[in-house]
Amino acid sequence: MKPINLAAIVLFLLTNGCEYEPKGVYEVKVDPVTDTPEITVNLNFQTDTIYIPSSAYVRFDYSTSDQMVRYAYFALNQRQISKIESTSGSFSILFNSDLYQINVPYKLNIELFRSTGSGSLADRIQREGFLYSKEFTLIFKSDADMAPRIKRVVPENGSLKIIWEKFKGVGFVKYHVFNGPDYKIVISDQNQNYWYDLSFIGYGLYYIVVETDYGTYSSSWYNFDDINLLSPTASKLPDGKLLISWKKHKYYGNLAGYRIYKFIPLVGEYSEIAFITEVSDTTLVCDEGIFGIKERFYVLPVAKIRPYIINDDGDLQNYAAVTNDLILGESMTSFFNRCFLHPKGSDCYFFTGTFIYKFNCTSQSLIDSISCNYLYLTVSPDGSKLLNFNTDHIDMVDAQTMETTESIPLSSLPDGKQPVKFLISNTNIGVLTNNSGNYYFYDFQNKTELARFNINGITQSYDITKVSPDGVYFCDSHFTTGYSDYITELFERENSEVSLVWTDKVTYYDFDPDNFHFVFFKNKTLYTVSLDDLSTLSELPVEDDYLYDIDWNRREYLSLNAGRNLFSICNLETGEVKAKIKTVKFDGTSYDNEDIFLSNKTLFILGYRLKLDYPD
Amino acid sequence: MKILRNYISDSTIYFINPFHVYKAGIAILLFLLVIRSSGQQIKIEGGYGLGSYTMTDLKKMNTSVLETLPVEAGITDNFPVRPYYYLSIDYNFNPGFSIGLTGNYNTTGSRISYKDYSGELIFDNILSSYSPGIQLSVALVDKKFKISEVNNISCSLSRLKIKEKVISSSEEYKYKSNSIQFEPGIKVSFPFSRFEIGAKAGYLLDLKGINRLKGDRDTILKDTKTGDEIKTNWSGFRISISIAMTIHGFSIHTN
Repeated sequence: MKPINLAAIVLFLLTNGCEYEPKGVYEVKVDPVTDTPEITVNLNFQTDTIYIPSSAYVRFDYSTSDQMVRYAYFALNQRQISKIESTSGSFSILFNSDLYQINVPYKLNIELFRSTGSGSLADRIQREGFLYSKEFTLIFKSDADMAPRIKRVVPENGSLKIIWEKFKGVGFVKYHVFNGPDYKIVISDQNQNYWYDLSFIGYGLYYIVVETDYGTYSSSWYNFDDINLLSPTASKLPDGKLLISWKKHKYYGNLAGYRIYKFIPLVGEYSEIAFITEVSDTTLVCDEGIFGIKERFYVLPVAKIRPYIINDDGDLQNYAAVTNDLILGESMTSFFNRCFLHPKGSDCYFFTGTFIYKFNCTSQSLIDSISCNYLYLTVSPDGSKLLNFNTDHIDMVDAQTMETTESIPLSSLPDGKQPVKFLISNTNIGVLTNNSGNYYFYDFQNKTELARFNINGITQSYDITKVSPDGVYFCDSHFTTGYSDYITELFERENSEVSLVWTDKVTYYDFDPDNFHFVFFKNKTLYTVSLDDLSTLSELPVEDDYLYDIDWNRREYLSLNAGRNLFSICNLETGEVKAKIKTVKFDGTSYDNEDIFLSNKTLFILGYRLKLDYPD
Repeated sequence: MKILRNYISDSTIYFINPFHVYKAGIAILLFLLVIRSSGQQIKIEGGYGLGSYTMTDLKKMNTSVLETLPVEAGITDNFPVRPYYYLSIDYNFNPGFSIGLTGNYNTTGSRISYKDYSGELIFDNILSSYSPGIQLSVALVDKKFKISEVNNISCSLSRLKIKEKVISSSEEYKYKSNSIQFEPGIKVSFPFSRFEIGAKAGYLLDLKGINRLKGDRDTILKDTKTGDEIKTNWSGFRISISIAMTIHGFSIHTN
């Protein structure tokens, strides 16, 4: 055997004589998963910063519906506190003053290992997967600091949005959001950190109570009052109706509507006149107002939730927005009690104590004035002349020109005394009385006393006293002696004799300047009596209880209903109602509207007038 | 990942002490030295052959391992037919009978493999054994060629190395086992000059040995599911060729 052959044999034996090495590779084709999947993890804490109450043993819950999550790892300040090799689990943390400090941030790390699902070897043995990690800041807090803070309150979309810091603790159950102690809503979603207060229309006092598994924590109070939002105004429209307008409410989204109230300060009464459910409406046209009486209106925003309940005018003033005062009629110079005279013609006369004014109903304006210094005024029924008392004489004034046509010295008057009351007829004959208690028929033109007489009782300055247009009759309402009755007496002068021809208890009377009849109102009837024989010429039933005035120009009377809240203007002959004007407790509780006069479609009371527009 | 961990358990069972086998070999050698004869021959023989290996338990273990793996792996090597070696020294009492010492070396193994883009898993069983023993040979035909019946009885000293490799991590466990083996066979040889070339065919019957963890004899490889011990079984057919050298004139004189 050649040496080389022997060497080959030995080499072969050596190489095959070593320990066996198994052979073969079983290779499987597996596709890797490269797309990063989304993963949903449910934790019972949802903020990056977690507050832990120092007094509670807090449990952290973790779960995921992703079945490919293999484990969750939790570490606090890089020290493992739990590793959950499951898709759910929990662990607890308790404040330990040896390990932790209050209000010091600690790092809480969470890692989730999720399989790729590729089925590869590495995947099967958890050496291949997606690692999700998140770092939280964990702070131990005293219980008082656990509650979320209300950080913003802002009007938005017609409502009020309250925004607070999301609860940063563990074991959240519910938010209880309060507006005042009596109203709250409950929110179960911890992530919802805002709320639209549908009850807010101006007053807000908010605080939040968080309910958790470990107790409840209350925030501090947040006051938000946003009032005076409507700024309503009231104005008169050309047609006499009233327009109430206001600004669109800032929190219109919370409104069910507006309630409109009318309030009359004079009597302290209020009433709801409209409920507007269209919140975008900002105006209301309502019926004509009350002549001569101040009104004001309240606009109450009505919340969808918890509307204000109005129980009295105090509630109105607290919760509703008020308009300016409104009064129906034009203001004008005030006149003294009953010192307003409206004879035939378009002019009226009144005086203030220092001046006598002449007001024209056609132009609705003062057209003249003269000075005076006595609280009395008389105008002849035909409106041609008036008497103006001065210091030592009486001036007879031409009503057309307001010029004095005759001056009557005191010495020419009966007894030479200053008269207390004096009247003049169309014929310049009138009646006057002085402090002696006597009454006199007197011819002012000729300055002659015609007759002297007395009445059955005591007359006062406010008692109605009238003389017939022809100067023959005189009528006076007054108390009888001893103030037992209030009666009306009609006297007739025949030459120098004056006789009482008629007496009764009536509430209104006058002399018809056109027909020279005597009219009076009694028992809801307007009687027309012939002065010749005092026979009743007509009886006109009046629907109302009170009769206040007669406008002889248009032959209309002005009456007031029993409720003292509605005037009627009616035809004197037929009783046809021409117009109605609302009022409130006229001559009842009021003190500044006892006198009302009608002349040429114009109403007059103290300080105001109202031009009416109604068909003839 | 420890693939094997389910197959290790503690137990104490009967085992063969290899020291006893050595003592028996020395006694036989002394016997050969003291026997009385003249003109006897000493033959030194080296052989190289191929052996098949039953390894029933380990194959079963591999099947079980496959079932427990997280991936669908495959068996790529399963105790294949492998070369083996032997060396023997025989003493001829007479031309038809010899007795001597013999020693075999066998090695084989198996592999469970899995590989994908993410890495590789390997589970290897590597077996090797040294089998010292006694060989008795009786010549049936002794002419220009010789046909002999050869019977070996030996003690197998086996090692089982289990290697696990999963991606980048690996583990290795070593076990030892001992067993008695019988190998009857027929040998044909052609002597020329002082040499002899032979070929042998036979069957090795292994009484199977218990695998004990090296360093912790009490830990035995078991199927934890069934509780059965996992034994090494070298049984199988053997064919080999050999070359021998005869030393003439060697004699031992005894009193």
